[in-house]
Amino acid sequence: MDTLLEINNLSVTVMTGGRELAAVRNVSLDVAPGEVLAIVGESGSGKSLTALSVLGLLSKGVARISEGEIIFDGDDLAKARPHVLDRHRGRDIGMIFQEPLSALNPVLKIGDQIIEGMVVRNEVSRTEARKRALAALTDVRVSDPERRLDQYPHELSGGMRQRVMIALALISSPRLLIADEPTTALDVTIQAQVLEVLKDLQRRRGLSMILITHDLGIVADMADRIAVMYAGEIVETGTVDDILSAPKHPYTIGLLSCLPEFSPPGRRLVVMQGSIPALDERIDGCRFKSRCPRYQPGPCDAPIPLIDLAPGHQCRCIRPFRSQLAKVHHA
Amino acid sequence: MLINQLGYRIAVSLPVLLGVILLGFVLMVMVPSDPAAILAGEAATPEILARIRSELGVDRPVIEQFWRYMVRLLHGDFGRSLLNGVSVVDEVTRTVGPTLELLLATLVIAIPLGIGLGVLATAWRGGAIDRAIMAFAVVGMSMPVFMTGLLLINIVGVQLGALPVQGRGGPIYTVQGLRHLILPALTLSMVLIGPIARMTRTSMLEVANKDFVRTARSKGIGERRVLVGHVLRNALIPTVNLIGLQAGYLLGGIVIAETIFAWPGLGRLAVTAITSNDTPMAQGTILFLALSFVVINILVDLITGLLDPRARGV
Repeated sequence: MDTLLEINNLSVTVMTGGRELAAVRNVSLDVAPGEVLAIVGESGSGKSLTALSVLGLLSKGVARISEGEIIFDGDDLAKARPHVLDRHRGRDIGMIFQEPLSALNPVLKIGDQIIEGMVVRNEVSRTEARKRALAALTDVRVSDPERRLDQYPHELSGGMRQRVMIALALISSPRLLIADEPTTALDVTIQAQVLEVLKDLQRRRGLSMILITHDLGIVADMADRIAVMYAGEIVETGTVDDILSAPKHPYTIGLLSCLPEFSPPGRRLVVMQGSIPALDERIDGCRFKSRCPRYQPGPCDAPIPLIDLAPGHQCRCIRPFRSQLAKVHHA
Repeated sequence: MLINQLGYRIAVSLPVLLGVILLGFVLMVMVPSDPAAILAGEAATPEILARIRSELGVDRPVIEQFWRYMVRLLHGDFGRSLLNGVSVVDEVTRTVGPTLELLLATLVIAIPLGIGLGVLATAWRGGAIDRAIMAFAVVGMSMPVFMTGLLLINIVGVQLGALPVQGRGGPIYTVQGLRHLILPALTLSMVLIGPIARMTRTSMLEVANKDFVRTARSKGIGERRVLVGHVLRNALIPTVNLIGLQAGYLLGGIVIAETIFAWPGLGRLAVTAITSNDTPMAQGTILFLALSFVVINILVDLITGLLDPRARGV
């Protein structure tokens, strides 16, 4: 199987209080053409840092790639110089961010923001670019697209702005789209609409996509494969079926149990105890052990590799679950 | 929409002007000098003085004097100089041109230079260039106008003999005019460059952390375009507002710079009028200087509206 993007042993450190702490640890991922990979995890699991690393968008002086490579089209984006990154940004890889309210420049017109990359790269003339922007806005189902082009972000609702972001990210027909929590900041009804737009575009264009989310509910619908991250590490990875029907890692199971779909009607929803460890907390062995119901002193305190359970299904646990998780169908 | 906004700004400026008129009037009334004595000269008899006072109306109650003053202002009558009988309006119109020249030249030097230095400091933040620029900004802000002026006169004018240091050389579009304009304009610019550079740097660093800058960077448009087209474009909004706030210092500076460089402008006219107790002339010039302050701030509001779509429509 050929790959479009390959992340090998990526480690990212962040600066806090004058100390450099590991926030992403030896993450390896790959995305095939046309494939949707979901990275799932709580806040602080390192999933956004991983995504930002791909386009070299980590905040200078705050976070940096300390190790590893990110191979795209023969370039190692982890060590690439700015002009190499700029060659891929927007044109080969587009990105959507979490906060539609603040991700658009407040003083520039929507249309100008959408076409800026194309115009700077001299892909097309301004008139042609405007035509494409109009088509792109229509594609993401923005109402009254002609008028929107000359409006400013503050004149649009959150859902509209996120659609604009999608149009912006896809205007130059990139092969890979990175969507960093694209719907987290939106109302539930708007969430569904925006996801629908994303899914539709992804399928129609055969787009590869990295979907970052903490919401397992939206993953089932869109993703082909899932990587579950916890405290900077990938703890389980596999196909959507692997992860959602036969999860093996206690953390994945914990996450799934919190979903209404997996708890019997009339019963309280399960809540996972504890919280993600602090970055500066020293942990030997399994990073999930303090919250793990299956923790066993000794074996769990030694470093645990990702273990192959089946082709394509890996789990960072020496005591993985065996049984299937029963999905409850609510009437 | 622009017309509405302009009308609104002018309307809210009227109380400011009224306050200035009142203040100018009160100050000149409180000064313990007798305009009649100035007019009549040394040899005046008490009878002559009394007659002049009653002609000027300065023997009336202060409230009545103010009322008469306001009525005359509304008729466009700003009075005549006590010293030489020239009409205040004529003197102001004669001197306002050179002052506007000086003001314009100052802004033309200070705004690009201040913003440019701010951008450079931001681009090399933490480095030697940044520190040098910020040190220069602090020195420039801390130096009083008269000191900068005298330093420039001494070094550039006297020791290097490079530029003229006294008076106006002609209209702004002539070589002589420009040569005479450089030093006073440079002196005044120092009032603005430091604050503008610092504000540009501060707000650029703040904007640089915004999410939309990351979006801009994700488009692959190059770091320079991100910095100028997105970061600076937003950082200009507070900078322009700062220029409006600094307008007061600028006008104070104009008065001093014009005096040092013998620039035949409104500021020097005001100083001469105040020091010689020429009440009508002093009130008139103060009013016009205040008016220019108001005009500058209206312009700043309009430019802010152009820069920031969120600030449009009052």
